[in-house]
Amino acid sequence: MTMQYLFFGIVTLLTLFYHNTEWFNTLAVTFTSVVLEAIPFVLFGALIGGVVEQFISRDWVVRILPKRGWMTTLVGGGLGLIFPICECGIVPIVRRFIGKGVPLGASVAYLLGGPIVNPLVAASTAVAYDGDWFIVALRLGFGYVIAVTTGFIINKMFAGQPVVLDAPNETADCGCADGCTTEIPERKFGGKVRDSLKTAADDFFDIGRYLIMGAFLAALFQTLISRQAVATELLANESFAIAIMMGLAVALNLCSEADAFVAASFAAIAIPLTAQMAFMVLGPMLDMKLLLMLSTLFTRRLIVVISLSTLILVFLSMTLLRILL
Amino acid sequence: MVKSAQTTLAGRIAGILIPFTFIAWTGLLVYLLATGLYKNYLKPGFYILLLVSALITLIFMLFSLSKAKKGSSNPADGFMRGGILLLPVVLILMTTDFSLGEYAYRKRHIAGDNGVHHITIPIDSDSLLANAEPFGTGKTVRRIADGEKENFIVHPFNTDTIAVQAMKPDSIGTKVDLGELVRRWELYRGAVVETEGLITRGDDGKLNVFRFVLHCCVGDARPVVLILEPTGVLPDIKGGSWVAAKGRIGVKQIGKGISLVLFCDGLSQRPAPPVDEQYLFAE
Repeated sequence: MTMQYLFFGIVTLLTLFYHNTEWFNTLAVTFTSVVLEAIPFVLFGALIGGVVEQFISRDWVVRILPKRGWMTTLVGGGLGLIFPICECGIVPIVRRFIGKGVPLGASVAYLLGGPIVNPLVAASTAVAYDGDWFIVALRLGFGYVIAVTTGFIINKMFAGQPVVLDAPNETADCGCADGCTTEIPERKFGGKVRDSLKTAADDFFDIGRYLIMGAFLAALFQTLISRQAVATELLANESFAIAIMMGLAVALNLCSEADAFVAASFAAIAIPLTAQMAFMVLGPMLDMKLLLMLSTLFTRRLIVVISLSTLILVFLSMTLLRILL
Repeated sequence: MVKSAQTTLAGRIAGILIPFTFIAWTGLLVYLLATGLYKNYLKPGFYILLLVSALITLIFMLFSLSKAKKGSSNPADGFMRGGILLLPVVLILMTTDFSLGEYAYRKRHIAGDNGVHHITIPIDSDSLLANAEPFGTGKTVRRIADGEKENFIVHPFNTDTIAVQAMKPDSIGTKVDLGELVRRWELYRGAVVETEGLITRGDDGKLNVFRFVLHCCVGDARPVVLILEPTGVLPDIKGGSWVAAKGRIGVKQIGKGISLVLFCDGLSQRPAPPVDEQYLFAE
C-alpha cells in the first residue's frame, strides 16, 4: 500500500511540475501508450478468468488433467499454442486456474511459457527476423524449456505450501465473507454469466493498478536511459551483453508481439544473437509490470524464486547457445 | 466490521469510484476511437481491440454498480486503486497533441559503433546491400559474430524486386516517405527526392532527418534516420522542427562505415502534420 501511495504521489508531482517539458511528455506518452496497448489483453484475460471461475468446476479440472504431475507441467508450458495470451492478460487466467486445482508448477509453466510459446509470437518474430525460422524455433524452444523447468522447480520447492494469495472479491456479492470458495453452487446460466462479469471486473480492478505502475516504471527507463549507451556497453563482452540485454528486457516491458522488432534492431550494431535471444526469451516471462501484477497472485517468496529461476535459466541457456553456435 | 465500513462516507465514495473508473475508461476509449486520436499512441490495427475494450469496460461498469450501492469495506485501498487506474486517463488527455521528438530520438536511436548512422556496404561486393537500421535481421548478426563484420552487411529486403523497380537517376524531386527511402534505398539511389521528418544534429555534427516507426505502440517506436550532406548553405533550423529536405540520394563513407546520405540542396521548415501522420506504422 505504501508503494502505491508513493507511486501516486510521485506521478502527481511530476505531472504538476514538469507537464510542459519534453522529457515528461515523452514519458507520459510512452507510459500511456504501453497502458493502452496492454489494456485490451488484461480485459480479455480478466474475462476469461471470470468464465473459468464461474463455469468450470474444480472436479472437472482435476478429471481432465494428466494424473502424473510432471505431465501436467509439460502440458502447461505449451498451452499457449492453443490458448495464446500475452503476459499482460495471463495473470488473471492463471489466478483462476490455480483456484480450480491446476497444480502450481503447471500454472507457473503456463504463466511463463504462454506469452512466448504461441503462434502470434512466432509470427511476429519471423517477420522481425526476415522469415528466419531458426530464430523463431530457438525462441519458442528456449521459452518452453525454461518455463517447464521453472515449473518443475516450483513444484519441488513449494508443493502443498500456502504460496497463492486469495483472489479479490470487491464487487461480487456471493455472500462469502472471506473470498469465494472454489465450489460452484447450482445456478442458472444467466446467474453464472453475471457472476463471471463481476469476478472479471474485480480482477481487472485489482490487477490493473499493477499494470499501470509497471508500465510507468518501464516508460521511465525508456525515457531516461539511452539505448546507444547500453548498446555500446554490449559490444564489450558476449556474456556481459547477454546480462545487459536481460536487464533491458525486464526494464522495457515490451509486448511479446513487438519485442522481436526491438531485438532485431540491436542486430544492426553487431549485438550477438545470444543477447538478442536473451532479450526475447526473458522479456515475456519477467518484466516490471508482470512482477507487480504477480504480487496480487503469489507470495513474495514464490515470486523471488520464479524470478531467480527464470533469470538463471535464461542466462545459462544463452551461454549454452553461445557455445553451440 | 464490513457493515460499519460501508456506512461511512469514505466507504460510499470509494464504492462509487469503481464504476466511475470504468465509465472514465469507457469514455476515454470512445473518445480516442471517435476522434482517431488513438493513432497517436497505437498503430491503426488496434481499433477493433480498443472498441471491444470500450464495450467490456462499459459492461464492467454496469456490473460494478452494486458495489456503488454497498460501498467499499476498505475505502483507502479503493481510493488508491481508483486513483492509479485513473492516472493514465488524465495523462492521455494531457498528451493527445504530443508526438515523440528530438528528446526521444536521442534516447532511442542506436547508431553504428563510431557514433555515425552508417549503412555498411561491402567494399568488395557489387551488390548494394544495406543495413537498414530500423529493420535489421538476425541472419547477418551471426555473420558479424563470426568476425566478418567488414565484409558483410545486414539486408532484410528482397533485392530482386528492387532491381526491377529501380528508379531513374534523373527523376526530379519525387516526394518519398522517409521509411520507404531508408528501407529500400537502392530504388532511389542517384535520384533527386524530397522527404519530410524531424530534424536534429547528430553527435558527429551532421544534420539528420528522422521519423519514428511504430510496431505496436509508441513504447516500441524506433527512429528511422537519414543523414543530410549539404551541397551548399542550408538554413539553420531549430532541432526538433518538422522539415522537408530535398536532394540526391547516395552513399558516402563516414567513419568506418558507408552511410546512406541525402546530398541536400534544399531544406525548409514546414508546419508539423498531425501527430499520427508524423509516425510511420510498420505493417
